[in-house]
Amino acid sequence: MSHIQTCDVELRDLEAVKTACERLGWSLVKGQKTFKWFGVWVGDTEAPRHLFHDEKAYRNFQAMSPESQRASMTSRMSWCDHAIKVPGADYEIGLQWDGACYRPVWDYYETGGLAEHMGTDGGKLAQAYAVEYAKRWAWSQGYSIEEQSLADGTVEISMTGGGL
Amino acid sequence: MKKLKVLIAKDGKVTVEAEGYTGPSCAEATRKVAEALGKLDWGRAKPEYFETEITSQVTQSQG
Repeated sequence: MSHIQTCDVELRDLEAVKTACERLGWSLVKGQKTFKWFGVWVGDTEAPRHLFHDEKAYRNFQAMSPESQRASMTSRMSWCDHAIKVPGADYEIGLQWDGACYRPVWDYYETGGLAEHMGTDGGKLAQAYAVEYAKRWAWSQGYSIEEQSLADGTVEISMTGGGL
Repeated sequence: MKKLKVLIAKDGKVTVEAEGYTGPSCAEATRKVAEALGKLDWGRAKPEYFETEITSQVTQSQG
């Protein structure tokens, strides 16, 4: 081994999102423009940082009055480009295209049922997407791949051959 | 044998490791995979990075 590179996954490929959803037993509904959630931001939890383009935008939001924050977040949650349905959950996950990637948006209020599936950090979708996208990318580059699930929940994809 | 290992944690964090490489080509290989997946975080070299990469020189002769 000689080098390690880390990255934060970005959901850029809608087909890989679709495959990731299938992997999780969820379904992607392309073109659905709103997603089901509580409907009004009540401000009882911290606003998801990933919805803001940068730290400055997030700080500006934090400096707003509670009323303005409610209006701003309600507006941010009022649309999506595509939606994801999760069996057993009443609420849905919205995917908002920000010009570079899809940002997943969801309400993890417990009655919506998404908390147990999606969690608060969205790691489950991010992991499934990264696994499916890595495989698609490897195949497109001519690599042979092996997939293995490790004891701590990590998924390992080994790539050999291709242009290595 | 050269191998790229992509480790995807439960929180979606991706780590790409190169095996069987020496020299800077490993950084290029891991960066290529990580860039395809998302926003690069940071990369760090393992000791083998500082070993000299042995490349074969091809001489083309004109006939």
